[in-house]
Amino acid sequence: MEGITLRHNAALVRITIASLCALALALAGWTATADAKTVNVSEKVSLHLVHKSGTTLVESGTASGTLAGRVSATFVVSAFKVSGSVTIYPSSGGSVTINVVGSPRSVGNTVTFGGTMGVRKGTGTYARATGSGTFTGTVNRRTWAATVNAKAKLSY
Amino acid sequence: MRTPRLRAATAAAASLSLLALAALAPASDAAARQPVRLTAALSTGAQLGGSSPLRIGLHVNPRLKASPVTAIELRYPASLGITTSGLGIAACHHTQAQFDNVVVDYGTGLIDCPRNAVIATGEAAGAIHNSDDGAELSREVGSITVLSGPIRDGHLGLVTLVTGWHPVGAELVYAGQIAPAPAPYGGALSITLPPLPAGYGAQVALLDLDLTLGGRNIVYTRRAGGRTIAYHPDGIALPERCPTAGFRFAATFTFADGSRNSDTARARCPTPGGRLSRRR
Repeated sequence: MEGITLRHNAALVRITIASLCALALALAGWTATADAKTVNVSEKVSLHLVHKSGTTLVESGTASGTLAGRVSATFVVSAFKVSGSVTIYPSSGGSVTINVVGSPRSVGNTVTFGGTMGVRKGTGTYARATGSGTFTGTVNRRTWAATVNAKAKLSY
Repeated sequence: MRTPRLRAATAAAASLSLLALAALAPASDAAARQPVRLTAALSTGAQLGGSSPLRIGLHVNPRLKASPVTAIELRYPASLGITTSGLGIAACHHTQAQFDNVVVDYGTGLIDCPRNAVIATGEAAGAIHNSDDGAELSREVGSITVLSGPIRDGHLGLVTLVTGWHPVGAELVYAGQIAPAPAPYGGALSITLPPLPAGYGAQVALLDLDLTLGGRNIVYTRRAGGRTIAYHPDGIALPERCPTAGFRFAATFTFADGSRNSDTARARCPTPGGRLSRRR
């Protein structure tokens, strides 16, 4: 009888410990979610042409603003659409890769364009980054140097 | 202002270039039975990863298609960089009333457009018909210039100027645009060719068009150090690899009687050495 009670108590203790562990893990997860930052990002990006092939432009440059750092970008350009991906490497570490889709809004040596963007992936601090925003910019059609102003809401 | 001598010289040049175009065209029975024909070619020295002029030929067989062309749509490969070329860095603005009237007053054509808007140049030939009975009155040859226009409804506008050399010498303006096209094409250049206003008593039916996008005869200017510098803009930007099926083009012609005819063409790929491959 006593043996049964002891075994019963031991089982109860194990279940309790397991439950506490699960609760602790759940709480840890909740805490991590609660710690996710959401920031309004405002960036000014300056890009220059690295390589051009057919409809593809590969560019690099720098970003100043909320996520200041190095930038690399690849764009596919048509007469009516610009799409591609932009990766920002903030000087604080990690990276954020953003998909962009836009369209030209004027014709000239300096073309204005604008569009929308969404976070595709991230690394380091921004490994779980999500977010979206809009951008406007200008590009020189002769040198393909571009300046982009972007505003986005970023959670990470 | 063009002098009669200059007109005669340009008319002769046009006739010669159209003869050359006709000589280049395949003379097979199959080609003769085609109501419309499209040809496309990169320049001989083209190199993958570089840029090249692109020559487009459009031909309508008047024996098989008596009705005038009212619209042309030329679909180009997705891998060719039209926008990433150096072409069309200014916009030519024409009013809708000018497009509706088709015929523009002599001297108001390219003179009103920035030269940095020129995308393509070439020669065109057409038949002039009597509006009443459709009888052919004459054949006109002239030059054609395609310029970039403003963006309308998200699409790059095009302005096409045709300057007749001989025998009429009229100057015509047509509207167009570059619009999306289904894969494998990257876009479509379209030009609408509305009939002349009733007051002219005549209609123009396109027969031949030989157009070079980004040709070496196109000269742009830019300002640097307080000086104006002339330069040749880069032609069509080529990818570093040739598409498996080559550079495929397609053209659809719409005629005044409502009918449509299409043709396809494949531009040969440049080899690494900069010569065009023989594979079609």
